[in-house]
Amino acid sequence: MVKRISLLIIVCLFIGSVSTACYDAVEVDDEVYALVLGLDKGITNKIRVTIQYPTYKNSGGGSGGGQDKKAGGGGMEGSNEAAGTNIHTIEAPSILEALDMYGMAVSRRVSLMHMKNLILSEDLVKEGIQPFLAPLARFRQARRVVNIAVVKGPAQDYIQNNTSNIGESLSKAMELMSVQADNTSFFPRVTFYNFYTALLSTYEQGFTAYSGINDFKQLPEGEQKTESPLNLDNGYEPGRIPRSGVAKREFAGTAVFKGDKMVGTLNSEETRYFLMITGKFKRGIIDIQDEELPEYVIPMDFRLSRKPVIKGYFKKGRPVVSVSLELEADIGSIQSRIDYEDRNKIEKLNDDAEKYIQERVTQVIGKVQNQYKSDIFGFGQQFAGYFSNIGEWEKFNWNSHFQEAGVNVKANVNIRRTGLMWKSSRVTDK
Amino acid sequence: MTTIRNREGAFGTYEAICITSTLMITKIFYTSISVIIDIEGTSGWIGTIVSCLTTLVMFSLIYMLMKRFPNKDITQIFEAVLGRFSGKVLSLVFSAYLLFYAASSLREFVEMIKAYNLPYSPPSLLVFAFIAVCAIVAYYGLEGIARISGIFFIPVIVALFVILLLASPNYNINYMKPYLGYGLKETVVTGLLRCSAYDEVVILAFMINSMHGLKTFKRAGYSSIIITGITFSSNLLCNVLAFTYTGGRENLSGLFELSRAIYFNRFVQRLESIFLFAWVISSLVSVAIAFYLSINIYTKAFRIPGHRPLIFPFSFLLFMVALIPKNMSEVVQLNIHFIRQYSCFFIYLVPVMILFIAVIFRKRGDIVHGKKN
Repeated sequence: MVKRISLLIIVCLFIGSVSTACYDAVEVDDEVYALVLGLDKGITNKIRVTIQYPTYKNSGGGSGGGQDKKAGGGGMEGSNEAAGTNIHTIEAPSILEALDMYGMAVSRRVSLMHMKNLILSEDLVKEGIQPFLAPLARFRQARRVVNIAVVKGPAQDYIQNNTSNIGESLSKAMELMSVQADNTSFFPRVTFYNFYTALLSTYEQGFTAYSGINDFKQLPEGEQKTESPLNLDNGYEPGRIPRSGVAKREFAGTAVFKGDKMVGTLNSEETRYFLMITGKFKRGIIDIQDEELPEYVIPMDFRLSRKPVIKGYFKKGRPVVSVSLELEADIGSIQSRIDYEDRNKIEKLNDDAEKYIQERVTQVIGKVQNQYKSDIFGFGQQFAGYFSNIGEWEKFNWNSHFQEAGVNVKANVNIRRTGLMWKSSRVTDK
Repeated sequence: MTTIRNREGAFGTYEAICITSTLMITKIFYTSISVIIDIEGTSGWIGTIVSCLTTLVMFSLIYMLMKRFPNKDITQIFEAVLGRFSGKVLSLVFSAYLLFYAASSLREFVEMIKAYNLPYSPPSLLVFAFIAVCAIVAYYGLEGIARISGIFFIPVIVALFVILLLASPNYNINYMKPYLGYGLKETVVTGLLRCSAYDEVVILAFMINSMHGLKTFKRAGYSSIIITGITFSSNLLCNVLAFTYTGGRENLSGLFELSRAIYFNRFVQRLESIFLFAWVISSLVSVAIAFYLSINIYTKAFRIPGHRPLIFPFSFLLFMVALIPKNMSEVVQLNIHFIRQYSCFFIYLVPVMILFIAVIFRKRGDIVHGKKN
């Protein structure tokens, strides 16, 4: 009995000592957790790596617009303490070595375990991102569910302006910002996993969200002299949205890749139609011009009622794609107060909306085919089934055939609800 | 014989299925998925069905052999057919193979846990800790292992399918195309060779005296092959649907990467802990089974009563063999490649050859109660 108990105690002590993980134990306080990793082209070395990590101090809810202070120069720069975060930039031959090099200045080990965003500068991705993405796919700390975005201008400057303006948690702010992609569909939510898979794929090409800094100079100042024009094509690129406010960074549109290089962009409006084709359009309010009174619009809340049906086939050797979209919409408002809720008129409105969506979807496909020659829609997936094996499919090289594909688009819109009103009465004495 | 049977313990069909299925399924947590996708591409899930069917045929032949020699395990059949010396040599080769199998699986586990979780812990410490647990499990013998497998098999399988289910938003059905992967020939040939990945089912032939006869042997064998086939095929398919054939072949552990890709919202993410639980438990059980059987066959070959005195020396052997490969590449490209792609030539063909020899020389089991069995 004594022997058995002794054995049990020895085993327990042994297991206890081993499970304390003496070699890999890391206290939470021993590390700083980079929330954002920014990559720019280096000047003195291959790559400039910027990290932003929380200081765990009371930030007071952020500073609004961020800080542009750069403490010190040389190899390592910057700190942004006002928003409850520190920002550091370093140049190094590789991302992973850069993370180690931070150890020369940051008192704690930099960890990517809780990274939320990967920010790539446009200059860098136009030259090719493959050498820099491969280490992240292999590195155990980097999670593949991090969001990825390309920014106009340097990633370093962008991160300097990346602050939480609502609440103290930058981490939460960034996660919720990515959810905005689902709420508005003005930019796609793309994770490293999605992007990396597309980068290696033979069926499609990659894309990311497009982001940038707004200096608030796009919103015209001064007195209104003429009648306000109606501009329905309000597609914007980041940095160009006519607005003022608190957060300088903004997401608008899509960065289009061909292989590992960025070849172009879609603006915020085009992105909505692009997302409709890929089935990732969650919802979005789109203003349809009132055909009876063209100075007015009818804002409608659109959503996909089912996944788009995309079919690919060969016609006389030429690839043809047919895209069928099924959308539902709710009327948000009727500025003209015309009785569109009427059973007959609502059909007319359906037709107008269908025509509107169909035209724009066709335009976006045309733009991507002719200008960027990159199948970000994933049409290639529909053609791979025509080949008996991978060898034949890869030899066919879908990406070289994408631009010659004929595309037929059909949109079907059903306006389901009319908001909280079922009839519009005329405003008296107008 | 009765003494040995009592010491090894007795268990039923469920436990037998759990032991063999755990041993076979564990490899899905490792590099198996990526290797198959690399060789077969999008048709890996079909290839593994070919492997499964091949294994069913091979197992049927082994069943015929066992049926010919009732109340005998395969080591005794070796001796009955080939003679005592040759039979012992063959048993020892199997014992050595199982030790090699346990050591390679252990090393693969250690290399992967270092890559994903414990990068700075010395491999020797991890190997030592793992072997310590295996030794304790082996100490309690086959029945103990059977009970452990019986307890953990269902949670492991459930965890595995929960991962596949939760990762389903990442699946794209079009990534199955082209349906025949790198070609029909490649799929079938690799499928036939990869029946090695199922050859652990042969351990039933070593444990048959602990089970309730041939009927249990047959049921457990066919059931575990089919369970493993479904598990392998669904895992391979899900990996291709999530990563495409180009991305799927890169991952060190396709299943772990799949669990890391699960993201529903801010609150439902980082679910790889489910994976870790299933991974560690099933690795532990499978190495313990192979380790125990290696000792068990050795004791039977030399008619040593009891396996316990051999646990310590075999633990040393296991430790040393596990540390022989210089690096991860050597483990995967030599040891594991041999076990999962070419071991069938030894594991299946030896019993089949024995069956042919027994048929040719008209050798059968003992006559019991004046009636041929």
